[in-house]
Amino acid sequence: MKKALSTLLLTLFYLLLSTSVVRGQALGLSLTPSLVEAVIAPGKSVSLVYNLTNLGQSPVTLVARIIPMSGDASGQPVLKPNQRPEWLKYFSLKNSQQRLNEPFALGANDSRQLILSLDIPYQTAPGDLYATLLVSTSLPEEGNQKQNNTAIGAAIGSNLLLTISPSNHPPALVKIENFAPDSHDYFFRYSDYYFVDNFLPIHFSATAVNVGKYFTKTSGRLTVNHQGKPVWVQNLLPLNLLAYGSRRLEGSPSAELIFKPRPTDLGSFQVSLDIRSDNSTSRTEISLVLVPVRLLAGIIICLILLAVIIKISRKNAVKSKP
Amino acid sequence: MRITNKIYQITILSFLFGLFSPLVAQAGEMTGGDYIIKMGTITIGGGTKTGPNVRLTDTVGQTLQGEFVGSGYRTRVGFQYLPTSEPFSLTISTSVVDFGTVKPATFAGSSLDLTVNGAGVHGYSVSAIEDHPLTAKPNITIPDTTCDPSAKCTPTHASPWASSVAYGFGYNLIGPDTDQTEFADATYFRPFANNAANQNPVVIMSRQGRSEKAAAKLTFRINVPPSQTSGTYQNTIQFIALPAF
Repeated sequence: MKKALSTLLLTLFYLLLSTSVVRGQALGLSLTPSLVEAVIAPGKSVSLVYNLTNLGQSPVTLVARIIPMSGDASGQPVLKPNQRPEWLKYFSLKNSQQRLNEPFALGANDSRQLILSLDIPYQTAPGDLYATLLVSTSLPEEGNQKQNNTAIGAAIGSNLLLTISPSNHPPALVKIENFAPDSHDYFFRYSDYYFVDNFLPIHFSATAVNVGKYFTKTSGRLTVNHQGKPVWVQNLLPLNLLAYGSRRLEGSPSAELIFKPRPTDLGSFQVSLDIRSDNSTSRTEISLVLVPVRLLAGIIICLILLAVIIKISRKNAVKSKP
Repeated sequence: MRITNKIYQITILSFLFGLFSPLVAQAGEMTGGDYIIKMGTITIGGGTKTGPNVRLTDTVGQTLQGEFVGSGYRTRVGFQYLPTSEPFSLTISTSVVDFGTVKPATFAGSSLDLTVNGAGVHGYSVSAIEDHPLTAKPNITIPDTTCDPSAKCTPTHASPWASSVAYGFGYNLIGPDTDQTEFADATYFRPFANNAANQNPVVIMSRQGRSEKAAAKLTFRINVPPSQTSGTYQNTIQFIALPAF
């Protein structure tokens, strides 16, 4: 009786939340290009061709959607799936078999071209549209499975930065703000003069602000001059600045804005930051005073040690005298 | 003699045409007025393409640089961005995460690997959201974890989850592009953002700046009380990969 009861309990325990082991296959999607920028006149149409690939080993059902988005200060898109602006209807897929917001199948390791059409009505007011073409795996219907599990969905996006304007080069106005060395890279500041150690790399930060109503692309360079001659030049990574938006400027290739002085670089250096966009430029400048802080500290420590050693050796010499 | 010359000329012309025709096929299609620009097929694409009423730029890798002006369009091809060696992609090691038999008051779990390739010069983000907590019919749930009672976790804040009497469903992350200040070690967990509660997807992996390949391991954890009703508990989690611009 006791054995039967324990067997029953064990069986019940096993049945509680029981599952049979199911291994899902890998999921993978790729979408290219990752970014499209366009300036389009009202009344015109543009067709964009995307390559979509199913990197998985089994067929998937996909849905392509246009989602409004905005951007943060580092250029990461922030999707707004709950917004349904009127301009979403400007977008459509020109493929014969695929439609936006409708599922379509894609075989294992198969690729498909999605032809995204953008038709701007004549009456459209000038301005910017920011959206993401998001292709996601269609989620499985729950309740048809007999396991405790989490089904995994994948979605991949490509960003669209669109300006509606009769002009190919709509006006842009870009400013540089907060250009300075990082706070841990200088030890003293007087007005626009920053005192730094010439044995350490100096990192800078700066923000580009677009005060215009259209997105623009900025590029430019960081230049360090000494006695009127450039000693360091670093190109900036091209950045897309959304209308009324701001972004932290990044240097090429690592995204760091940096100046690595040579040990012989001493004295006053002028650091200028120049950015330019289609029809706007901006420049700002600060001064660095390079001081061999580490070298001086090392010499002082050596002198102190030397003095201590001499003092001790003299004491020992006096003690050892009979 | 003149016929022979003609034959030579035709042969040479055919040869030249054959030599250059693959390049023409790769260049894709560009038309003025109502534009059709097949960027995906322009293997030398990138830069700017303009027409009377349209100006487009894209980020496809390219081998030529310079500005090309034609009737009704202007094309600027160049290394506008540092190109990536492969297209932007997201790979997830499994499409179904099985939790096996879940014993009450005992941690159960499973894991998956996330890989992002070709994110490009400005980086990327991967965010995650669940459609709802793990649910069995007729609407019985395993709630999302709040971790140990002493340190409450939320969809945006991880905290230790070691107590076997703290119940729920959550995840831990390990990887260079995950927030290691949040997931300090393998005992730190947090719940997924819940779409049914009108929460937004939460970024779980990201990088500012160039990224060719990035990977992370996501470990799920479930713990249920002895009073949990038996059933088949399910939900769906979506991972959304977005390139930065």
